[in-house]
Amino acid sequence: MKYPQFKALALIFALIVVFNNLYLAEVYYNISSINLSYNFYRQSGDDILIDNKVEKVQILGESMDFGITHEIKTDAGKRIIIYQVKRDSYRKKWQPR
Amino acid sequence: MTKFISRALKSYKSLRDTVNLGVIILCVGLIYWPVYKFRFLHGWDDQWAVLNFYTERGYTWSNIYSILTSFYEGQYAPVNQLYYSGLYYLFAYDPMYYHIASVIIHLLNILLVYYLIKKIASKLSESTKLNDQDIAFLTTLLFAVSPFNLEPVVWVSASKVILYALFYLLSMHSYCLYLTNKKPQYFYLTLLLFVLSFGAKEQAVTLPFSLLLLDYIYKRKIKDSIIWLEKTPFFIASFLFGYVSIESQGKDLFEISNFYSLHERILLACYTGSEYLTKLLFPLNLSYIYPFPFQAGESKPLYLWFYPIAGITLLLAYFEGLKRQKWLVFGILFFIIHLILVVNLLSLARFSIVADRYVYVASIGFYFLISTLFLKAFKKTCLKRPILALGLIYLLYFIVYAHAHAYSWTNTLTLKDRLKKTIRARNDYDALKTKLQKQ
Repeated sequence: MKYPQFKALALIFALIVVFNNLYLAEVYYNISSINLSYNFYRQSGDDILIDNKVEKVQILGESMDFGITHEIKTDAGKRIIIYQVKRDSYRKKWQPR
Repeated sequence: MTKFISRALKSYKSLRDTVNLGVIILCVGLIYWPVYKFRFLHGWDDQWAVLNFYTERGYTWSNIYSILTSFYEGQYAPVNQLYYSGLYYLFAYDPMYYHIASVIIHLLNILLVYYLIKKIASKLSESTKLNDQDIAFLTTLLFAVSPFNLEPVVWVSASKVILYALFYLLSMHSYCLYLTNKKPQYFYLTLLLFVLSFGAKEQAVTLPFSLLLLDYIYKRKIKDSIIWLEKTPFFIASFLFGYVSIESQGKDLFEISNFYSLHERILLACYTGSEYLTKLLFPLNLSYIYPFPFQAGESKPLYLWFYPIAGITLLLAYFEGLKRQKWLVFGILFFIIHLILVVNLLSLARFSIVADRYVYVASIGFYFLISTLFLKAFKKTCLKRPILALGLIYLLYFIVYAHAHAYSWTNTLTLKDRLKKTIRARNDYDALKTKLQKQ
């Protein structure tokens, strides 16, 4: 193989990689079919904001700085409900948009 | 007469800078104007990274001492924490001001990128044979509006990235001043800004290599002992900063990184590097997290083996040619220096293989390459109009996609919506719930 042909081949290889990456992005990174790590599930799964306020339902395990925690068992699994305690300044300024 | 022409030329250049920056700022405004109504992301780190006791205690001596001397949730970012404390002192926990502050820092970074690339492009004019303002304009425009650079601007917890970039770029400017007029105060200022940059994010440890790259651009002889003597305090600081970063992450860093074997990490590094390149060039379906293509110990998808082969072939085919083009050397090395720490070769203490925010500074090198290539093609071709039209369509795609993607960062629900639906639609979701119940 001559040098210009080798250069063309290298370019074709690079294009194949780019197109494969674009294909993976198009199928949303195979999230619906590949094995995902536990942490990936956890970070994508069950966070819920109740009435868009500061209360929060989380899967057990995510750390919080401050708040009142209450553990419950639901059909969906064991969860901790965390009622975050906010300073008055934040509560006063907080307005639903 | 000569004086008049030189003054007119200077004022024309300065006017062009103003117009260039005006256009860029306008484009940034078009993308980021909705941020004033964005919330804190209570389900994506803001609940502990921003809303915390350090933020609320303000600028008291004891709080500043605590921030400077302790690790928090596996992180050491005192400059970033002091930034939150300042915002809290001024605006309490009103998310609007935190978001606006992020956009302002992004704008400052844009100014710094513009003038840095202008300086570098003028030094590389023999190699590029292009106007420095054209290269600076196009590079900065792509950097400013790239959807891939959106994450650290719209996510308050990622402000450490834009802050680190701010001090990092200032440090590079200061070093350029030192190289130009050799005043020692600029050298010390570079060192101080380096420390501040690390105080915002550990990725700053790469600065000594960027300074060596500037030495190369300014035609200093890399073999001179003075160059290495100058870099000694920077390398020592980098080493210390690296140690602090490892300490802050504790045992987890090594425990998790050991999950993937070395050959798996090499495969992942090739894949990750190519993902960053592809997403910078054609951002598509961007997300706040991206999965690893396989779990440790699993069989690897066949296509992954092709990535290192393609990389090695490309290197062998173009390495000799690259060495002769100084502008290519700068762009490629700038990109690699700022990406090497996050391609999963060393650490896998994460569950997302790619993170948009990690490429913020590295993207400058990549967009410098794209801009220079585009301008060279534009200069040589007789099809100026079609090429210009293609360039404008590409730019429009960036702006429209970045603006649309910004809305997904409005709150936790909008951010996680698509991923949540995709995962809940999986056949094995019930099995996962059972697994979680057991834990």
